[in-house]
Amino acid sequence: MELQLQSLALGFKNKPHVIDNISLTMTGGSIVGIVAPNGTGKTTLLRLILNDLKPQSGKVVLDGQTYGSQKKSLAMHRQMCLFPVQDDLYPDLSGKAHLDYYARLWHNRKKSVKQIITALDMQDYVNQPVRTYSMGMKQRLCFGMVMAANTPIMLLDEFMNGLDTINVARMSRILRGLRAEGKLIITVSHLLNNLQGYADLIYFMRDGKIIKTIDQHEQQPLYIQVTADNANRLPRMPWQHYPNGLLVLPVNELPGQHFNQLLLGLAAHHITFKLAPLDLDTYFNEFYDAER
Amino acid sequence: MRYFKFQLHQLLTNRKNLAVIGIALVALLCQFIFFPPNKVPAELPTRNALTRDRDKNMAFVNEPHGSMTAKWVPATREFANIETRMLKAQKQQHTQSYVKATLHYLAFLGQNAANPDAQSSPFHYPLSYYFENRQYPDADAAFANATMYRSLEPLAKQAHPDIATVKQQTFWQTLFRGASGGWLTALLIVTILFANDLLTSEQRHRSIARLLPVSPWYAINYKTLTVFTALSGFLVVVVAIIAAFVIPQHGLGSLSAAIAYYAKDGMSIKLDPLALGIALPMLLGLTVLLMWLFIRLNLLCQLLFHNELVGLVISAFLLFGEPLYFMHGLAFSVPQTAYYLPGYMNPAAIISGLQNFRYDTSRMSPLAAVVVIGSVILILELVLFIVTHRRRAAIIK
Repeated sequence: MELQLQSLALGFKNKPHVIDNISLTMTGGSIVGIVAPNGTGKTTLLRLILNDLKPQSGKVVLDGQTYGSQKKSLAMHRQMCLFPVQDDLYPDLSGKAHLDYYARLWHNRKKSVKQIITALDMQDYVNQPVRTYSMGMKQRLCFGMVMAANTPIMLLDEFMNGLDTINVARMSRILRGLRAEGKLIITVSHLLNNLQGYADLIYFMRDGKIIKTIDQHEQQPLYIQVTADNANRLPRMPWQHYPNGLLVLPVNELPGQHFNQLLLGLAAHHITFKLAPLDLDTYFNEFYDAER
Repeated sequence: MRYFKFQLHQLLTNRKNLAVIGIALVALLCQFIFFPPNKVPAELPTRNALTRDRDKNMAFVNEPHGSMTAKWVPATREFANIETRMLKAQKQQHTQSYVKATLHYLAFLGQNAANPDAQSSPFHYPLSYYFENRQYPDADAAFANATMYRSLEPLAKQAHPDIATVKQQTFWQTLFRGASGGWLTALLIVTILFANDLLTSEQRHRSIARLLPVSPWYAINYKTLTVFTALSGFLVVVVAIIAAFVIPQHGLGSLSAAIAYYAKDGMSIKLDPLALGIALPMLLGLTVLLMWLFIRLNLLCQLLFHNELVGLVISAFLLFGEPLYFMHGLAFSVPQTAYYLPGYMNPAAIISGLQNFRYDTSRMSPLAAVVVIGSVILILELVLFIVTHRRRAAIIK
């Protein structure tokens, strides 16, 4: 299964380039993370994928099919499910009713609602009306609804919000399981380090464009990373200052002997350092700090 | 099926709908306590009223009346005799005699009460018609008198007619009388209030409702079905309440008992008996058509305008808009008004011919109602089909 976004563009009167010529190809069996600050078009992109908004140009292609007639649109909608907004749940209906609803509407006969309830540990409250749920319970229910739909494409917008660490870990584990089943999962999340733990591809968006793509299956460049309070004790090198208080040095720009000497020097001066690829938080700060 | 169940559950847990059901049930109970529809019709006087009138008439006969004596004394004597026969039959519990005497009583009143040729007539229709602030009490009373006469006629041929049937108090008769008395209007109001926010309420659940893999046409059809199901349940409860009030006292009654259907062609008036076994299904059929019309109209308004108000205003206009173009008592000078939809909002008035009487016509028949309501439904269906099959159609914005 392949989902292509071909030169998608959309703007509004007050914001002419919310999505600016984005082209992506995503395949089943992968988790794609979209990263950007609030209000920069992530949700708009998901709505374009769902045909909830009409692009000014470009198109969404799913296995060669595009949105066109109502029949075609329905056929595509049967392949995808959006993580619902918590406030949109029906307060007087039970969680079980919501799960059954999604399972039946998307004709899911493979994954039982009972299994989903157990997997998300919702047994204690799933039969109660949704109005009695806490934020975290609702969030689990919304995630369960997407699982119940069991569509090949799952669009998860801010789906980890309000969850405790146990549930974040639980849902991350389930996501990996869904990927193993061949699902294409497109997520929007602000829990960047968590996202880095399960996503295969991560796209950073700015000004309606994809400004960086991280393929986590490729070897990422290594950086020596030191906190800024050690700045006075560091040897003179082309350290790059990051807005989150990090000083980083790309390893591939150092000749071999300098690299060894530098590491020995840092160790000798008891300066704590990290030798690793940059994490998503650091990228996030690099790309978006100027906007704040 | 799951979509249907979910929508039905949603409809029945909607607080506005629950409030509507609650108010309607309370109103029904109040009506039974204060204005029971199974009370004896005004055309059939009670024993006390009959005795009082008879005594008054006997006194009239025995008093001098000058120049009017020759004209009114014999007639009053005749009327007093009829009243005496009614009282005697009541006392002896001989219902056939009672029915026959009552037919005479009604025929006598029909000839002599409020007769423009007999200005000083001492006879009058039941006084309640004159206390109710009616625009044309004589005409209304004459109509009720004539229809009562026609509905009693078949009973006079029975050896032992059921007295509850004579007094129109049985369950089936009460249903018809209640329908004539505004229950169906109440049911249509409930329908409108149920259907009024079927789609707009989904706006609060946008991320769920907008992206379901169901077509708008499918969604509105199932939503229509949920309203029908909920209203059927409501109707069953209402009918059960009525049955609980009426059957223990007056019995179920017979579906062969007749009402009268009024039609007027030129100067000739026709009053044909119509069995309740036919009238009630016709009533139900017309009511279902009207419910369908209001549900679909409200759905269409929500699809087009994305709010509840437009549908509500148009529905109210249809339901209560008849006085905007028609005034009872004016001659039937604009024949096409007989085909305006607001004239068909009371199915009981169509089935009994009351609308024919009000419009002084025979055109407003049940068949005309089916044609008029059906035509509007067809147009609504066509527009709904087009609107929901547009390329980017959706049930909410």
